[in-house]
Amino acid sequence: MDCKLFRQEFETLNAGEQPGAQAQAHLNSCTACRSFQSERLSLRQLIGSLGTITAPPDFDFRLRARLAAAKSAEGHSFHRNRFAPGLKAITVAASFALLITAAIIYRQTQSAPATNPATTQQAATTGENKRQAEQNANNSGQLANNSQNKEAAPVAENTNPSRTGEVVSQAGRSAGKLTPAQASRRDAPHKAERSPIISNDFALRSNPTVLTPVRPTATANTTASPTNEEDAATLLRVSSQPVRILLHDRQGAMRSVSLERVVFGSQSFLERPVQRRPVASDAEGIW
Amino acid sequence: MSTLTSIDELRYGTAVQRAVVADEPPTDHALLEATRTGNEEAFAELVARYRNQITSYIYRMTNDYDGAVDLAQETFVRVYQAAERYHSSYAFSTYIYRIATNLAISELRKRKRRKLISLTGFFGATEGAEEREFNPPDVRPLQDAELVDAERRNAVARAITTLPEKYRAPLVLRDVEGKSYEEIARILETSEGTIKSRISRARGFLRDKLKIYL
Repeated sequence: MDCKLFRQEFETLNAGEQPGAQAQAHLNSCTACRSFQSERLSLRQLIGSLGTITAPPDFDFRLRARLAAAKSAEGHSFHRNRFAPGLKAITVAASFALLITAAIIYRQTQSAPATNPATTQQAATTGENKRQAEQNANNSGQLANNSQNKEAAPVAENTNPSRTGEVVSQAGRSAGKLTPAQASRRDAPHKAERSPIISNDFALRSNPTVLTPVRPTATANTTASPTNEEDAATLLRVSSQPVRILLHDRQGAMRSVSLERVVFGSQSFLERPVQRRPVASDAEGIW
Repeated sequence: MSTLTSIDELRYGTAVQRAVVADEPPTDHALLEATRTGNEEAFAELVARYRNQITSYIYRMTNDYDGAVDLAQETFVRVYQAAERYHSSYAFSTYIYRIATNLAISELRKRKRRKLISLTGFFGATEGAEEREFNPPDVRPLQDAELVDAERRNAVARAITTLPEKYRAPLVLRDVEGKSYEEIARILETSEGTIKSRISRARGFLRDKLKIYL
């Protein structure tokens, strides 16, 4: 046997146990193994000298308290689970009700015509716009009557009859007469965040148009031109002079207000009929 | 309803009746059987038998007395809670030491995770070598013999705690607790050959660390 096997035997000896005869003989002959055995014995004695650590005197008391706490914790969880006998039934009933509700909503969605909420809202807005257009038309009518009636306070006049202008649409707003809804909208702009935004959609109603009477010369020069073309020419022919409005107040005083013309570019075509005469019509100034 | 034949039967329950009649101390299995039936005294007897051993063992593993006491109590709590699932195929001491070993190793791993900076990393061994903590012995001379003994014990305890877990547990069980290789193998759930090898390597490590005391 070599030293390795003897050393393994020395390692596995219990405390106070003597090696076998062969191992003892090897120890007597081998200095290295004797040193190894001596060192191992010293080490084991050193480790064994550590002794036993005793538990504190209140070990049992603290352990009982700990067990009691663990029991109470178990009891709480047990009671929490036990004293809810209807929990499963409630869960099943709630799930069933949820399923039925979902099925009803699904069937209603499938049976109803496919309407987009945005489309519905747009339709409502269109109806509102129509109502407002009718209201504006009524206001325009009133304004027209008022302008014909000289007893009304603001009266628009022009020295040149050919340059007399008349606001046809949205006259109520331009004349300063606002409906209560419009007034509240104007006075409380912060409410616009909560109220729906109402815009003027000129695809649904007519935009404000300034009508001018057809000059006799232009009419005379027109040969067999349709009435529609005349109307179109009238619409486009805007005076190049500023509009002056005479205002009579209740005291009888009269004030003149001059409104500068607004140029959109079409006037330049109308003012130069020679260079840019349209082919479709012989009328002067007709596009 | 059976009648009681002795005061010991009243104390430990009918599960330990045979042992009591034979005038022998009840075995650990009998005490645990009585604990299953709700006998608090039987469990108290089990605690009295093992509290010092388990506390000492965990203390040698962790080198922290308060922590060792806490873990020892946790060991007994687990024994109490798992009394219904206990199988008597092994000795009760093997069972309770296994629980204590698992708790101690868990605690050591928690400590290792909490350790943010390891100074031993500067003295780390080469790649592939066993991981060991750097714990140089204090070679300053002491004046009093009692202090020398105390210092030597502290040095040994510190040297044990520097061992890797897989070497520390078998060494403590063998050289401190005096367990047999067979029981250590059962506690640590490994083979006897592995245990012998690990104990031998652990002693080699300690010999290098405690050379001045040998």
